[in-house]
Amino acid sequence: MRIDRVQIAGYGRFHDVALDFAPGLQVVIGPNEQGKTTLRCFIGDMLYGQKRSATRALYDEAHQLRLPWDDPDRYGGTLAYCLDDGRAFEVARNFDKRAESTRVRDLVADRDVTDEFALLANRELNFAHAHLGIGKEVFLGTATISHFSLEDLGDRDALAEIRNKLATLADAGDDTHSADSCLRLLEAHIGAIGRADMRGRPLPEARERLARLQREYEQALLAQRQADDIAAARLEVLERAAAARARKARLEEDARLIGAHERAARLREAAAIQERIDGITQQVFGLGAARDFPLDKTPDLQRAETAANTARQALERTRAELRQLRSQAQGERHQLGATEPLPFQEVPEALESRHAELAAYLQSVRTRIGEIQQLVEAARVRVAEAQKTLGELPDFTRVASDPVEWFTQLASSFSVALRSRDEECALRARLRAEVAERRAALGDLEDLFGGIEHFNAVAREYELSKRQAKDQGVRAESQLHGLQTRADDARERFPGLVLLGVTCGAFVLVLLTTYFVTGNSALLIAAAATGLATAYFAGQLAVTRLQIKGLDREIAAARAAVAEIAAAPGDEIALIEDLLAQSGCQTLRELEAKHDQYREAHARLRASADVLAGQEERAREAEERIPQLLQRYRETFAQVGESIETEADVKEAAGRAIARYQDFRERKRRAHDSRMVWEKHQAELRRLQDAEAQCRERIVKVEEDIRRFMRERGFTDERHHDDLADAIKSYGKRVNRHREQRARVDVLEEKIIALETQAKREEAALERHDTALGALLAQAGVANARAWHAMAEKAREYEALWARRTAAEEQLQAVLRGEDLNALRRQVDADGPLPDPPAGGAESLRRDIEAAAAEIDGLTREAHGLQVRLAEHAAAGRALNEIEEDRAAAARLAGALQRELDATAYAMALIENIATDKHARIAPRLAAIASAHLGEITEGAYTELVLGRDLAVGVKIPGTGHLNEAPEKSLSKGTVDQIYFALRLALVEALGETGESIPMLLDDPFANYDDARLERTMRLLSRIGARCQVLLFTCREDVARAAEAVQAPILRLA
Amino acid sequence: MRILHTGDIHLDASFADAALPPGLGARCRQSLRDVLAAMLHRAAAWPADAVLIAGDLFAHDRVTRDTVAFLRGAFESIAPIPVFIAPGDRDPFVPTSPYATEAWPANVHVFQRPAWHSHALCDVPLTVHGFAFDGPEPSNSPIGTLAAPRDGRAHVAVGHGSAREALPDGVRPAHPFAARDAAAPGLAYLALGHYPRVARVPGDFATVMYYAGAPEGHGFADTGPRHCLEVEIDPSCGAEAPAVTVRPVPSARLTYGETALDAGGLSGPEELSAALRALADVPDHPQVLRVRLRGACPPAVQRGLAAAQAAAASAFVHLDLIDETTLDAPFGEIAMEDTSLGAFVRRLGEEIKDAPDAARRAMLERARDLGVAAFRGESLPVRGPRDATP
Repeated sequence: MRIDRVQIAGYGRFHDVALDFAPGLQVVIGPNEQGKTTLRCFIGDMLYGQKRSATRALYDEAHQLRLPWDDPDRYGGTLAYCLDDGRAFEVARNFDKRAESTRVRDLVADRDVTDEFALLANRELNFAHAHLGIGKEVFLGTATISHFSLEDLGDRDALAEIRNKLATLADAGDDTHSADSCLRLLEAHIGAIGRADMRGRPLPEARERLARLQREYEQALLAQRQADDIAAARLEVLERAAAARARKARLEEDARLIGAHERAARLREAAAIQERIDGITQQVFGLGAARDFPLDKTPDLQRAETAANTARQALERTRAELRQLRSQAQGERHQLGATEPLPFQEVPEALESRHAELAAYLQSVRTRIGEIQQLVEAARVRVAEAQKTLGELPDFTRVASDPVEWFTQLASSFSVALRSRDEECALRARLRAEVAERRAALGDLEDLFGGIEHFNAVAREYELSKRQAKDQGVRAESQLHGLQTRADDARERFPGLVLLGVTCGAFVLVLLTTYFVTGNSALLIAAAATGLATAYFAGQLAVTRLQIKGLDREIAAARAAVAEIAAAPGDEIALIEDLLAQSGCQTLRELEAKHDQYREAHARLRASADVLAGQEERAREAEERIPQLLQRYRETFAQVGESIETEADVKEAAGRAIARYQDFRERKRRAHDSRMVWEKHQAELRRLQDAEAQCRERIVKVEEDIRRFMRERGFTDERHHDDLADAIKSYGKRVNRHREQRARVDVLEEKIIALETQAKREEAALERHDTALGALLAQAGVANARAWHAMAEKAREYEALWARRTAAEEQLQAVLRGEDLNALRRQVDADGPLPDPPAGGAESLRRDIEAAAAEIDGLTREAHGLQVRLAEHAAAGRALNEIEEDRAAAARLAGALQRELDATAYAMALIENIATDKHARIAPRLAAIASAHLGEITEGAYTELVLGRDLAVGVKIPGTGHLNEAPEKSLSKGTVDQIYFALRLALVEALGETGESIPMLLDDPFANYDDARLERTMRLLSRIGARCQVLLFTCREDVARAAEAVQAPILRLA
Repeated sequence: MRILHTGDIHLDASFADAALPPGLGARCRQSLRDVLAAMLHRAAAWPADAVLIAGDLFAHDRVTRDTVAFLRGAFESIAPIPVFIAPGDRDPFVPTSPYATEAWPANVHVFQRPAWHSHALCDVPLTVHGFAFDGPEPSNSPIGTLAAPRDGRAHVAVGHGSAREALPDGVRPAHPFAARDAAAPGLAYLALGHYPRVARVPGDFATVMYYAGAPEGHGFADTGPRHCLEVEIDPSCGAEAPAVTVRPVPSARLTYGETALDAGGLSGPEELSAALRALADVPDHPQVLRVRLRGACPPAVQRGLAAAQAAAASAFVHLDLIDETTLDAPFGEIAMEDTSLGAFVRRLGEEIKDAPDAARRAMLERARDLGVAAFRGESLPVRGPRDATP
């Protein structure tokens, strides 16, 4: 295919643009952002459309990106192309979604051939695929080589990247996914399903679950079979229980027959008892009068009669005793006589205790006063002694407010002054030693550098002079060397010139001789020419000789100059050289380093001397201060009786003064304390004396109250007792005597009252007993107790008869067993004539029935137990249905996953086989074409590319035959790009070999090419263009120039 | 006289073959119980003079004591309406059957032998005849031996078996018989069981013969609505040929459905979700629905299947989504390319064409989809069953 012309109505930045492309190599040049890439995209879109899906009418993003800037309504254009067989077509497209259209016209036949092409599922016309034989992805991926596809090769593993790109182009037609990446994706898909050896993946898990459920199902089936066995056993037990129930029913029928016989016997016995009851009833009627006699009240009657007699006798005894006591009380009252106006009364306890308390308090106060008087005297003596001892010591209060602190400060200050003086002196000594040491250390350096003020300037001058001298020396040496070389050359030429001159001279002589012999004038011409040459060589010889002499002179002058430069040092040089010699340094740098040491040591010495001067002053001041202080302290300590002779005495004197002051302070404190005690005791003594006086007044008042009380109670004898205690004692005796007489009368009167009350109570009791006796007699309807006893005898006889009748009735009820006699009779009548009772008694039958019931009960329990076991079986595990359904679900899942796994594995195997075959098939052809291209581009530097069966790229290193499989580590980026370019060209050519040639769209792929390789590449492209069209888009003028060199047409985008 | 006719309820049956997710089977079994209870409640409310259960009331090998207790309670709840049970091939009257081992309420009459047994009702002039399977197949066929006496009473019969004239496709026959043999003079109605759907046995007979079908489906094989039959017999038209009216009454609480959805036109999972939800907007849509997704769709749709299923699942008791889609790719065009991908598609296209069976074809198509998607750098989701029971 060859693209002849594009006409752009509107596409990105282009509108109403028409471009004609030449066959072969066509270069399109333009600065950046002038639409080269847009033009390339236009060609692709015109051929294949703008759909991103091959099966859906979905636009890719280019549709929006390439919207015309000026007029979006004119979105499209035409593209004319011709095929290798000569057919020519023009495709016209409108990309506007609203009016999208594609028309294809056959330009040779001049007709619309749109309908001849199939419409794809994405609504695109399939003409490009039909004409080129490749799809959109393959065309864009393979035939388009842009700088982007090269840039991402990178610097490392570039050939691996090239291999991958080749593989993707060969495998999928685009440059994104190769068979390898496809296999990786499918492997990941298998990983997501899970092979048998993978844990935690769906398929192995589904299989495990299926196996687990199968086991559970088998166990459940086994359990169900066991349950069936249990159910069968239960069924058998239920049948046995039914048989036992039938047997029990038969036994119960026999029991019913025996019961009928027993019922008839009971009827006969009951009838006999009924006759006996009727006889007793007749006798009871005869004693009917005594039927209601209260026989049960007889004990009550006897008790009432006894109680009445007893109450009457007690009343008579009480009345006799009462009369006797009244007589005795009358006599006692006569003896007591008349009573006092006020009753005798004891002295109030409050007054008496108050008097006692006051007396005791007064006694204690007096005792305390005696004690305090002794204490006051002792305190007065201690105060006097303290005043006396205090006067023996100096008065420290006039020395300082706090003498201890004062003396301590004095001693401390003096110690500080002494320590300061010692430290300053020690520091001065150390500084002196340091200065001496530094001065000694400076010794040699001072001798060396001491007289030089500006060493650094001198050194700089020295260095400059040395460099200049060296430069001059070098130049002179160089000049000398040049002169010697020229002289040597001249000397070397000299023998040659001599030889040539001699040879030519000899030849002239030969020619002249020959001329003279032969007369051949032509020999004269040759002899003349040879003579000229001989003259030339002779002249050269003379000139060379002169040159040698001149050069020898110049060499001598130059040698003199060199010697002069070497032998003409300046002052600075002499000084420094002298210093170098004295210091033993080899270089100026060493000398400068030594001078730096000197300067540093000198600075340190000066600093130490300054410090020492200051320290000398401070030490002197410290030494002068000590005598001044000592004199002042002597005066101060003399006031407290202490003397100081030397510096060492100050501290001891201060200690003694402090001890003396502490003694003074202690005595003063003791005198003060004694005075305070004395004053306190005196105040206490005064307070006690006042209290004694008050207490005495209170006692007198209380005594007066007590005497007045006794007098008012008629005890006039109190005036005869001075001591109040005696008076109170006498008053007490009299009160006690009167109180005893009065108590005896009171006791008698109380007894009389008690007996009177008792007599009234006994009279009431007698009346009550008489009333109760009368009521009992009236109840029985008899007049007295004798009549009562006679009637009671009849009543007892009646009761005996009635008891016999009641016993007979109870016997009857026992026989009837709660039934009615008539009902029993009717039952017996209903039973009718009875057959003989069955063998064995009722008891035997009952035991049999019980045994049958027990058997039924046991079987029922057994059946229940089996039923419980069935229920347990049912509850023990999951239901078969659930397991079966789970198993089916797990089997479905495992089956589906297995099918997915099979399909994936099948796809993988197929892809691997196909890709391997494909790669192996195209590799040799690609390698051959690409090797030729690479050899041409690199001008034979690299002539052989090797492609493995897996498309792995290698390069034969020229001259060695060695295959370099990682040439990017030794090759330049440009060469790697060229390898890739050669392979891409080869791929496009290979694609076009079997069908329609494919136009190549190159977008600036020469970023890393040098000029020579670019030129050769252009020649290559020009030659390839003869087979398939190459549209080269570039922004570089050097590319355009290279294209011009191969006569490629150039289209410039404005 | 009114009769409620049902059968083939298959209580406690396994749903393992129904391809339902784990756990849903229990719900389906419970639904069967609910359906039976509802039918009995309806019989009591109508009221029916008798309830006829034409076999396969439960699955004999799976029935639980709990279900037997439920049946006792349910039948007792409608007493004194009599319930006649003719055991079938799935619940034969064998010694270990609950029919034999359990005590049933007084209003329940279970036919016990493979021979006609008659039971005359006291309150209405109706006599019910029936027979039982005593194994997977009856040891004796009573068909053709029934003689309904001319006693002025209406005679109906109940039994299990396959009338050859009405055998549906895919149903395994049990105790097959000819309808002509089953018809008997004086027999007004023959209530039959074994077929899954309501079916009248065709033929010009004096006896009306009906299959009531299962009152509720048992999986995706039993899609659509299900019924029980309300039968009214009017003896006033004459004891020899009383008028019989049969009315199917919808009974299923859980309906199953299966449909195919073309996902070819869908561009993403959102559209798929909308399409699935639209299936729920249909009146009386199945509660348990299986959707087979077909057509060629992009990988985005395939990747969104689970999300779309989850989004639409709430409208159903269970939504089963079977992915049978293929990759949306121009396989024909790809096959023309001279690339490894083209060769791969070509090769698989030929193999698919020559595939011996559907399973092999499905595997090859899936392999092709996976390979083409991988060549595009896309990974398709792993295809397998998905559970979407809300």
